[in-house]
Amino acid sequence: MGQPILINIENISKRFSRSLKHSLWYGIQDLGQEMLGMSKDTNTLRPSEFWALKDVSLQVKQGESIGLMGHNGAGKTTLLKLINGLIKPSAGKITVTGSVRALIALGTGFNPILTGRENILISGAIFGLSNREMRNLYDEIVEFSELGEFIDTPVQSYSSGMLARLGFSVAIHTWPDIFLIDEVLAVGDLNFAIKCYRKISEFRSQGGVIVLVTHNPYAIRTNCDRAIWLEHGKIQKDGDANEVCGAYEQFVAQENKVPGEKHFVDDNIENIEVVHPEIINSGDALDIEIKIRTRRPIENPILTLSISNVSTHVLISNIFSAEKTKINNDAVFRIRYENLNLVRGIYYISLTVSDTYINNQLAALLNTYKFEVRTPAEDYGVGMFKLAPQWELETNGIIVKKSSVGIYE
Amino acid sequence: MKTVIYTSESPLKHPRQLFSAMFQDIRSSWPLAWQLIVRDISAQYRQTALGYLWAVLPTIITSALWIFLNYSQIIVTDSGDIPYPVYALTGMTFWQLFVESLNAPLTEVNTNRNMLSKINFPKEALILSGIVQVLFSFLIKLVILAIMLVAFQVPLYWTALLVAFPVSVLLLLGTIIGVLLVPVGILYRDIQQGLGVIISPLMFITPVVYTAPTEGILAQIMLYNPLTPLFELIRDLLYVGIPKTLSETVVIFLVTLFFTLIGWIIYRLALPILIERLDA
Repeated sequence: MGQPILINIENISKRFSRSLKHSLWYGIQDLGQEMLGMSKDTNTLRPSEFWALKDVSLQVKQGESIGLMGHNGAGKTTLLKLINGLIKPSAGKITVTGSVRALIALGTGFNPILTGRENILISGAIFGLSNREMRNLYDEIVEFSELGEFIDTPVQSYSSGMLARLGFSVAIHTWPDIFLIDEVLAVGDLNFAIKCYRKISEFRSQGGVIVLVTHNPYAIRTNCDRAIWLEHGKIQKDGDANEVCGAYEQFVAQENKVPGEKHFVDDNIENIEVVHPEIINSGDALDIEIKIRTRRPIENPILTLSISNVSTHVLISNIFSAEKTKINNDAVFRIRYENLNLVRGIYYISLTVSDTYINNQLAALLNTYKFEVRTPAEDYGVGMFKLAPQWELETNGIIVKKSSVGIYE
Repeated sequence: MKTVIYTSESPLKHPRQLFSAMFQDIRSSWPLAWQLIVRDISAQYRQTALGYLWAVLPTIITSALWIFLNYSQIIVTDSGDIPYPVYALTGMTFWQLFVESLNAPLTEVNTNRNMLSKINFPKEALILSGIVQVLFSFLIKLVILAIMLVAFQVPLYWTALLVAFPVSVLLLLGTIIGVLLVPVGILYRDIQQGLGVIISPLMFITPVVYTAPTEGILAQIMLYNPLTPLFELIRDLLYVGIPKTLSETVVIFLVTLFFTLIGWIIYRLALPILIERLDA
C-alpha cells in the first residue's frame, strides 16, 4: 500500500458540445480565454453542451493495473485522453508521474509506401523514443512482430493482422511507466495475442501501470486487479476487478432487451402462458410450465423450446413430441432441466407449438420470457456452461493433486 | 520520474514554466521531426518516376513561361546587368521557398491529424519537419539555379554568402504566417484552399519576376509589401554586391521574430482545443 501514486485525478470535469457549429464557436472562445490567461475551472454548461466527465476523482498507484469500463459515451476514452494530456480538463487537476505511452491506435503515423523497417523507426519516434533507444530495441521488435522477410516490404502490402502486429510490437517495446490501452489488445492470431498478454503481464510484474479501456469484462479480469465503471461521466463503481465486472455485467444484462415476439399463426390458439422462475443459481433445476389454451383440438402436439443468451446464441434446444395424443381446451407442458449449469447472465426462452409436423407451427414465441442465472461474485462468467470436471496432476508417477469429489468444491 | 500536471488553467499564468516547456519541447521534438522528415521525403519521391525533379519542375516551368513572355516582349523589365532568364529563375526559386514555407505548417498538421488526435508528442516536431522539408526542396532548386548561372556565365559577388540572412527571414516569415493560420485552417478547409488562391496575386505585387516600378499604383503597393525589400536584398547580395534594403530587412526580421513568439504560443495553446474537435 506504500506504493507511490502515479496518476492522481482530482475532481476532473470535461464538457463537450453536441453540435459541431457550437463546438467550433466555443473552441474559438476557449482559445481567446487561453490567450488572455483567463481560463479557469468551469462548472457551468453552455447551450448544447454536456458533461463527458463530471467530478471524477481517482488515484492509481505504481504496479496497479486498472480497467475502465462502461457504455459508449460513458467517458472512458475522454478520461484516457485527459491522462495522456491530449486535451485539457474543464475543471480539476490531473497529476501524472512517469512516462506515459498510449496504445490507442496501432500503427499511427505509418506511411504505407515505406517498409516495415522504416516505419518502426518512425513509430518509435512518435512514441517519444530517441534514435539510440530505437536502435537497441530494433531487433527485438522485428523478432516479436514475426514478420520475417516482410519487414522489408512496404506496409501497404501487409494484411491488417500484420499491420496490427507491427504496430503492437513497437508500442509494447517502448516500455513506459504508464501504459494507456484502448481496445487494441486482441490483435493478430491467437498465438500472437497470447504473446501480447504475456508481454503485458511481464510489464505489470515489473511495476508498470496499465489503464485499460475496454467493453470486454474478460480482458479486464485477466489484465487488471482493479476496475472502474463509468456511467454518464461519473464513477459508478470503483474496486476489485471481479466485483466491478460482476456488477457491470448484471447491469448490462438487466438493461439489455432482446425484442420478444409473439406469433399466433392459428387463430384457434387463444393463449400461451409460460411460468418460470425469474432467478436461479447456476446448477439449480429450472422448471418451466407452458400453459396452452386452444379452441380446437391439437393432434400430436409438438413443442420446441430453446434457451439463448443475450447475444442471441442458442445454448439449449429441445423438441418435445407428444405423438398419438391430443390436447384440447387447456393443456400444460411441464419441463424440468436438472442442474442447469449455465454461466451467470440473462437468458431468454423461445418456444413453438406445432401440430403433427414440426413445420406446421401454430404459434411461436421468440425471446418472450427471460430469467437470470446467478453465480458467486468470484466466478468469471466466461464461456457458456459452468462445469466442474474431475482433475488430477501426476508427476513422476505420483499423483500430487486431485480435485475433491463432488461438483463444486 | 517526471511529473506533469494538467489543469484548466491557462499556461500563460505561469510564463516561466511555459517558456521552459517550449524550449524543452523544441529540443525533444528533434528525433521525431527527423523521422518525419525522412518519412515524408522518402515517401514523397519513392512513388514517382521523376523523383526529386518534382521539387524543381514547377519553378522551372513558371520561370520558362516568364522567360518566354519576356522574350516575346510582352513583359519588359529592367533586370540590370544579369540576363532575364537568370533573373526570373532567381526570383521564382526564392518565391517558391516562401510559398512552400507558408503552406508547410497547415499541410503538416492536416496530414498528421490522426497522429495528433491519438498520441501526445511535442507538436513543434510538425513545424520543424515542415521547415526542413522546405529547405530540402530549396536546396535542389539552388542546384538548378547554379547550373543556370554557369550556363549564362553570371558572376556572383562575395556578398552572395550573406544571402542566408534574407532566406532565413523569408522562411521564418512564411512559416509563422502558416502557423498562425493553423488554428482556423485545421477546422475549416477554406484556409488551405484560400492560400492557393491568394498566392498568385501576391506574387504579382512582389518583385519576383520583374523589378518594382518607380511610379503608379503597383509601385505604391510594392512599397508597403514587406516581401519587396527581401527580394531586392536577395538579388542585390547575389548580383550587385550592395545591400540597399538591408535595414528594412532587419526591421522585418525583428517584427517576424516577435510574431514567431506569438504564433508559437498560439499554436501550443490552440492544439489541445483543436484536438478535442478533430474526431468529433
